[in-house]
Amino acid sequence: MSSKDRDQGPHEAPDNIDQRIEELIVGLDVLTDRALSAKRPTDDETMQHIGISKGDLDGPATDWINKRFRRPAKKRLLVPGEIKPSTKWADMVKLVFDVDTKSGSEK
Amino acid sequence: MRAILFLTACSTACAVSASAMAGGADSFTLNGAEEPEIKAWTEPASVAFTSNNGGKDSWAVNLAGKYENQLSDNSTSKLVVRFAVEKNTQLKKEVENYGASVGYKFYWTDARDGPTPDLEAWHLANEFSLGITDKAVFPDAKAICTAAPLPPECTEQRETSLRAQLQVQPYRHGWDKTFHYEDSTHTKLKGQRWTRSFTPVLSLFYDEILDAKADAAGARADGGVTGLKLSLSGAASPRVTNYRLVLSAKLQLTETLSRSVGRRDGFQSSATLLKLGADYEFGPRSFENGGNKWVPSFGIAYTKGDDPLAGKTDLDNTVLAFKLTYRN
Repeated sequence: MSSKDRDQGPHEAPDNIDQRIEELIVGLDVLTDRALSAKRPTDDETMQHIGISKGDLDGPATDWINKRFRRPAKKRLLVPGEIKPSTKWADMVKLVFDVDTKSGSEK
Repeated sequence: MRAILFLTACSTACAVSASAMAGGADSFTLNGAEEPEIKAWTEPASVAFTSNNGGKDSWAVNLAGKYENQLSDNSTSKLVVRFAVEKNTQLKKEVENYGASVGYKFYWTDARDGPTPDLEAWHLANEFSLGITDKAVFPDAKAICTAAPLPPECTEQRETSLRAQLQVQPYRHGWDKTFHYEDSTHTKLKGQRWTRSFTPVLSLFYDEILDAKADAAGARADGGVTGLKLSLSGAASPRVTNYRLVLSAKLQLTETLSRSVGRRDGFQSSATLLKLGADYEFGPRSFENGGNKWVPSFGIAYTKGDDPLAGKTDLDNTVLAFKLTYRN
């Protein structure tokens, strides 16, 4: 593992995380036909299960996540192709916020 | 014929997925086409070998490997290193090409900031690369090869070029549409009547010959070719087949802007290449594109036309094959 990967910048404060995840869900909702806010993703659901296409993951989703969450937090920007259709929701949250909601290790 | 030993194919991040080891900053992919981003219609890598009893063995190999490395934490730009191998002795005109390049990939968008992704924005994946290509020039079947020593067109020769290329691959929301699952057990499929993926790729290229083949008089061509290549590619899958039947098409138009005198015979000024495919996937689907699984499929592919940049001319073939594709 490179130093680049170890140094992910400051982690989100626990109080703020739920609110930020809610922001993420509301944002990604526009890319699916599922009404994501009403039918929230579970940890093991993939981007494919949710219905976000690969093109939307590489383009609008990655760009928006970088602008909305990664750059303001001074974290490494995600590159197109990094979020895959097979990425699970828990891993997506980990990628965006560097918080492991599944194990609760950062909470 | 003794046996066709195998035909396997890999697409998306095949073989070593370095992204898993390096937090997503690095990745290695292997497929069958050198395009900026991998899509549902991206040709998978393939290897086929036919051993003939008492005859000449044959090969059909198509590999395009790509290593990408994010250049810095606060940028999405990448260093891209590519290699390509294409060898096909089963075609009407044999093909043997090798290539390697180093490139810089950068992304551009006019998306505005907001609480949700900008659905009206353009997203461009751009790649500038510099590379070397080497191709075999096989003996001309029409040449009279009785003289000794044999004239150059009766022998296998090699041709090496230096190539600079700028590829632009645009994307807008809606060009990719995928299916999803209705229930929490992830078994009931839901989605529109057709799921689809469409992307054009526009390339500006300059190809300077370094070591050309010798013609009948022993003269060697020199100089460069500048041109544009437009690829319109798409794939679609109907819901009635549970998105397992994938229909794909690629239309590639190559138009030269300038050719040195020495290159005019060997490089067409205008060329068209058409590829059509239909595959039925038995496991995970192309549009699902994930899960680190081997996906078996059976399909037919038809190719017609010319691709002068890849050194392939007068293609007109149909391939019926069982494929095994690795999806990451």
